Amino acid sequence: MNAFLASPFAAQPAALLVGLLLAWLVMRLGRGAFPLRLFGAAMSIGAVMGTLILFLETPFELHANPHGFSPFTIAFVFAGLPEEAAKMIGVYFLLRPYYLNRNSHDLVLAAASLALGFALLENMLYISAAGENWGRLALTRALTAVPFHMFLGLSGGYAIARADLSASRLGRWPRILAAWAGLGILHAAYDLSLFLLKGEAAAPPVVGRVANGLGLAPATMLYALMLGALAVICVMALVSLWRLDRPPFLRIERATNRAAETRSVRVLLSRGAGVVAAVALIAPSLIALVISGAFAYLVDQGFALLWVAVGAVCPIAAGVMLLAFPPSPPFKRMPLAWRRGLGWGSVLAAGLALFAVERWGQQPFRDMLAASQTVRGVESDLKGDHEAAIRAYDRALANNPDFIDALAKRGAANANLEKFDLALADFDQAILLRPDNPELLFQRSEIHRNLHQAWAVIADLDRAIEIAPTSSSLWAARAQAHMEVRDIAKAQSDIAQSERLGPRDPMMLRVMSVLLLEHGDIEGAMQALDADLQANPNDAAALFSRGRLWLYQQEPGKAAMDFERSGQVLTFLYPSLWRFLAGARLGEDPAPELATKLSAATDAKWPLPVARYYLGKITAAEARAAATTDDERCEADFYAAEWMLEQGKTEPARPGLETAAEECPVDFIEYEGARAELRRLDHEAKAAAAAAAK
Amino acid sequence: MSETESAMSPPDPEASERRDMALFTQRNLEKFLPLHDTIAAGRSAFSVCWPGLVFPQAWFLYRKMYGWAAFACVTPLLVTSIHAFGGYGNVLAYAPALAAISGRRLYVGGARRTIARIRAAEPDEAAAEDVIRRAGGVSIAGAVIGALFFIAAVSIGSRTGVYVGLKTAP
Repeated sequence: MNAFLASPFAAQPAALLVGLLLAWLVMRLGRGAFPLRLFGAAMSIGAVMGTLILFLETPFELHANPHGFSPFTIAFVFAGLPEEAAKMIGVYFLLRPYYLNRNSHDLVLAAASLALGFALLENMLYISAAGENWGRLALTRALTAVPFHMFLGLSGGYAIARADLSASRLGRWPRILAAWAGLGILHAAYDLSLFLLKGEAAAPPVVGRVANGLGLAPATMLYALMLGALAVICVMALVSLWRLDRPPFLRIERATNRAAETRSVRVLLSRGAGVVAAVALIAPSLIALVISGAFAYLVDQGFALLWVAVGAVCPIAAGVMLLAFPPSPPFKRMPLAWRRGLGWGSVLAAGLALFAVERWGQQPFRDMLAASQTVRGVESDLKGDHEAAIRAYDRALANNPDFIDALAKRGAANANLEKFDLALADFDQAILLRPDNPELLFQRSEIHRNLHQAWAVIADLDRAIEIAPTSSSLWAARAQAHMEVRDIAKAQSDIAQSERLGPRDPMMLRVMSVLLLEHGDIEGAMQALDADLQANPNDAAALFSRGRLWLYQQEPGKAAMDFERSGQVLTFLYPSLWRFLAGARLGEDPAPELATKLSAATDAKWPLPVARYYLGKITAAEARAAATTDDERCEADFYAAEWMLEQGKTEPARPGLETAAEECPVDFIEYEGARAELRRLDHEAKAAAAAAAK
Repeated sequence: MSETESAMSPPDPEASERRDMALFTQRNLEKFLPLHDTIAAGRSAFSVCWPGLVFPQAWFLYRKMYGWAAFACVTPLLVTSIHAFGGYGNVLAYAPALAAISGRRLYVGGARRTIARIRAAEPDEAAAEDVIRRAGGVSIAGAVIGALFFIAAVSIGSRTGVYVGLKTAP
C-alpha cells in the first residue's frame, strides 16, 4: 500500500480527484442546464491558458530565480496579475462567443470551469514535482489552491457577465479591468504569503516590520494574509452566485423534463446528495475553524494554528454553495413526528459527541498542542534562538512523545548548538518511529558526520538510498562519506549516479568539486562550482568554496569577493577569517572588517580565538590553547600556518600545514586548504630549484 | 420542373449537409468540402493539414477546436514533466504533431457531429443556422493566443532542445 501511495502513478489521479468534486459542484450550480460540452471546452481553454502562462514564465527561470526577482515581483508580476489576465482573456475572447454560452449563468459557470482547468494543470505539475511527498501537497492544494482558482474564475466570469449588461461597449472595460486588478491582487496576496511561508524566498524587511507593528510573528501574519485572501474570494464567489439569481440577470431553473435525466444524474442533482456533501464539507471545517479560533483565544501565540483555518475556508464556501443554490426545489416540510424524532436524535447525537470528545478527544487535542508548540519552535529556530526552540520542542514532546516533527526539529536544533549526542538521540528515536523516512536518515547521517563516524554515515545513507533511489542529494552525500573513508572508487561511482539524477543539484556539484580537488584538479573543481552558482546563484556554501579555490590559485581579489558574498549569508565566522587572509594577500588592511564582524558575534564559540589571534589580541599559542577538541586544535594549526604564509614565513608555516593535513578530518576545509597550500609550496620550490639549476 | 414542383419536392439531404458545412466552416471552405463529401459518401478520408502540423496550437485555437488545442498544449508539458513517463516522455511529446497533421479530418468529423447535434436540438431552421454559424467559423483571438504559445514554445525548444517540452516542472 505504501509503495502504491509513493508511486507517481497514484499522484496524478489524486491531483485530478478534487477536479471531479468541483466539476460536480459546477453541474449542480448549473441546475442540470449547464451544457457538459461547454464545461469541456472551458476546461480545455483553461488548460491552454495555464500552459501558455507557464511557457511565458519559463525564460525567467523563477524556480532558481537567477535574476533575483523579489517575492513581491514574482507574486504580482509573474503570478497573480498575469494568471488572472489569462483566465479573463480566455473567458472574454473564447468562451463568451462560444455557441453553447446562452446566458449569464452559462458564462459565469464556464469561467469557473476554465479556472478549474487552469488549476488542475498546475496541480498535476506541482504534485508531480513533489516526489514522494505528493500526498500532503495534493490534500493541501485540494483544500486551498484549486478551489481558490475556481472561485477567482467564477468571480471574474461574474464581472464579465455584469459588464456585458452595460449600455455601451466602452463602459464595460473599466469594470472588467477593475475586476482583473482586484482578482489579480487577491491572487498575488495568496501567492506571496505561500512563497514566504514555504521559505522559497527570504521575507523582505517590510514583512517583519508590518508583523512587528501588528504584534504578530511574521509567519502568523502571512497565514492571516492567506486566510484573508481565501475568505474574501469565497465571499465574492458566493455573492456573485446570489446576484446571478436576481435582476438584471434571469433566474435559471432546472429543466422541467426530468424524465429525460438518467438515474445517476438525478441522484447527483438531488437535494439529498447536496446536503450530505455539504455536511461532510462544512462540519469538519467548522470544527477546524473553532479549534484554531479557540487556540488563538486561549493559547499564547495561538495564532500559530491559523494554517488549520486556511484549509477550512474553501470547503465551507463549497458546502454553502451546495446548500444555498440547490438544483431542485427545497424539501417539503416534514411531518411533526419526523421533526420530533430528528430533534431527539440530535440531542442523543450531541450527548454521544460529548462522550466521544471526553473519551477520545484528549489525544487529538494534545497533538494539536504539540503541533502549535512545534510551530513556535520553528519560529525561534528561524530567529537563530535555538535554545528557545528546544524549549518549545520539549513542550511539544511532553504533549506527544512520538511527535516526529518535534523530534526531528529538536535534533536539528541540538545539532546547531553542537550538542551532537543529544541530536543523535532525537534522530534515533524519530527513525525508530519512522524507519522508512529518507529525510530523517539523511539528517542523522549529518550528525554522524559531525561525530566523524563515517561508517555510520554510510550505513544511514545506504538505507536512505534504498528507500529513495532517485534523490541525487543522497547519492552525493554518500559520495562525500566514501571520500572520507578514502574509498575514492565508490565516491566516484556515487557522484556519477548523483550527476545522472540531478545534474544541477547544488550538493552534487559541491561534492564533485571536493572530489576533483582531492585529485588536484583545481580547474575541474572550479568548473563544478561555477555550474552550481550558475544554477543556484545564492548558494553561499558554493561561494565560500569557490573563494578558497581562487585563493589557492593566487587570485585573492576574486577570492575576497566570494568570501564577502558568502559571509553575508553564512552565520559562522569562517568566511570572515578567509576574507581576512585574502585581504592580507591583496595588501589591504583586513583587520577593521574582521574586527567589525567580531564585535557582532554574539557567542564566544570557536573559531573566535583564531579571529582574535589574527587581530593581534592573543598569540598563536594562546589561540591553540583555547581549542577544546582535536578538530579545533588542527584548525588552530592551519590558520596559524596560513597567517605565517601571508607574512612570507614559508618554512615556519610548513610544519603547521603538514600537521593540519595529517590531523584534520578529510571533510574539513582546513584539510583541503592545507593540502592545496602544500602542493603550491612544493610546486614553487621545484620551480625555484629548476631556475637555480639553469 | 416548375416552381411549384420545386417547392413541393423534399429537400436534398446532401445539399443541405453541404450548406450546413459551408455555414460552419466559413473560411477556406474549399479545403474542407472535399473531405466532407468523401466522409458523407461513407469512404475514409485524409488530407495533410500543413498549418496544423507547423502551428498545432494556433491552428486548433483558430478553428475553435479547444479540446484538441488543450491536447496539443498540455501533452508535451505533462509527458516531459511527469516522472512516471520516464524516458518515454520526450517521444510522447510528439503525439500532438500526429493529431495536428490530420487536423482537417478531425475538424470535418467534429463539425459533422456538432451540426447533427444542433439539427437534432433545434427544429427552427433560422435558429439552427444561426447556432451552426456561431458554433463554427474561426477565432482570431484564438489564433493570437496560439501564436503567442508558438513563440514561447519555440523559445523554450531552442533553449532546451526539447520539442516544446520542459525537463522539470516549473
